[in-house]
Amino acid sequence: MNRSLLIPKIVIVLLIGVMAVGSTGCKSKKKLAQEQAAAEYAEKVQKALADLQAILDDDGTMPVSEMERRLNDIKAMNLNDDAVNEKIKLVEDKIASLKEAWRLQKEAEKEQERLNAEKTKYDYINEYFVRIANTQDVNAANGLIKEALKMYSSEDTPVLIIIHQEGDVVDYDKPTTIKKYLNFVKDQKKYNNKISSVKFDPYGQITELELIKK
Amino acid sequence: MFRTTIFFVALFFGSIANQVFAQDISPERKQAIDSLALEKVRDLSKYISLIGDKKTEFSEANRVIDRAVELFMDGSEVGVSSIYKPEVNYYPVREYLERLMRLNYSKVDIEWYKIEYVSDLEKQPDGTYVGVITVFQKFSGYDKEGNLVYQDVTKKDITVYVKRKETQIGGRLIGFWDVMLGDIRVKETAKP
Repeated sequence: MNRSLLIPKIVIVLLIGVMAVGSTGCKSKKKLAQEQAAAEYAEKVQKALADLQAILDDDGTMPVSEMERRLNDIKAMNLNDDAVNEKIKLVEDKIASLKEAWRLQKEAEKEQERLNAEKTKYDYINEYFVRIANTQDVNAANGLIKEALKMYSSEDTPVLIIIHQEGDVVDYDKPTTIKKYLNFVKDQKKYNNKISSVKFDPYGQITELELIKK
Repeated sequence: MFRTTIFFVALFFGSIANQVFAQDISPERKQAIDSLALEKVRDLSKYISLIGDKKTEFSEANRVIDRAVELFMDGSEVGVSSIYKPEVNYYPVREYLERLMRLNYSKVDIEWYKIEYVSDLEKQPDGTYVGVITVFQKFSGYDKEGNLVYQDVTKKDITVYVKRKETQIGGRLIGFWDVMLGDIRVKETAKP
């Protein structure tokens, strides 16, 4: 065989060999990178699922702000995984219900504060009803009625008694007047209402009294 | 055939109407109305006891009679019975209460108990709720020596009418339930 022809052939074969080996190496590197990425993604998904589950399982030790922070971090990862998305929805619902419960609690506390303030504010009005109801002697009760009437703009000042409330609908007992109501309390020896609201005239006399059944 | 069709059509619409009437207020609201009507009967019980009580001053008793009469519908009557007579006499409410005030005993005790619905409040086509409340009345009359001279227990049925009404107070519309008592019928009278 001619040696001069043999050498280039060997070089070509070697080159093809090197190229073939190089190409295979490139392919496995890419695959490796893909596998690595997939593993990292799976790990992120698992961690996100675990974090979300921890929020769902929390029985009140984790503050809502912390729940929100964790949730936002997970959402920012854009994992686009069905299981994660499902849990995100559950966590969002839990946070919403916790926030609603907190809002209601705050509202109730506020209302209670208002009622306490009102209670103290109208104690002097209530006191007459209680005393009249508990007075056995008719003349003494009549004396208290006379005294109590001085707080009102007239004997005919309307007294409204709420018997039931449902949303915007308020049901009252038949409206009466303060004189009749004070006598009613005296006759029946009972006062089972509390003051709901009071209206005054510019002289500080009561022009309307709204009571509510206890 | 035509009559039968008419009957079933009427039955169908009647049934729908009943459902509409039954559903238009919540059980809680109905409960509030039931309690209000019962309370009015209890109030009447206290008024009757005060009117009958010889210790109640004349002017007070008359004022209480006015208040008691206000609880009734115009034209209502109250039955009066005795263990000595089989018949029951019916009197207009005011007359009954005035007779009660003037009873010829030195001391009178009137106690109402077991005040409860015997027939629940049911909504009528005109929107009025009608029911019957039963009460037991123990009447005791004493002479001036304090001896018990007459005593009976009477079971009475009171018809109650409750209607939602509206009135303007201080520039706002107030929706209220007007409870009116009807006749008080004697069901039975016996010695205690």
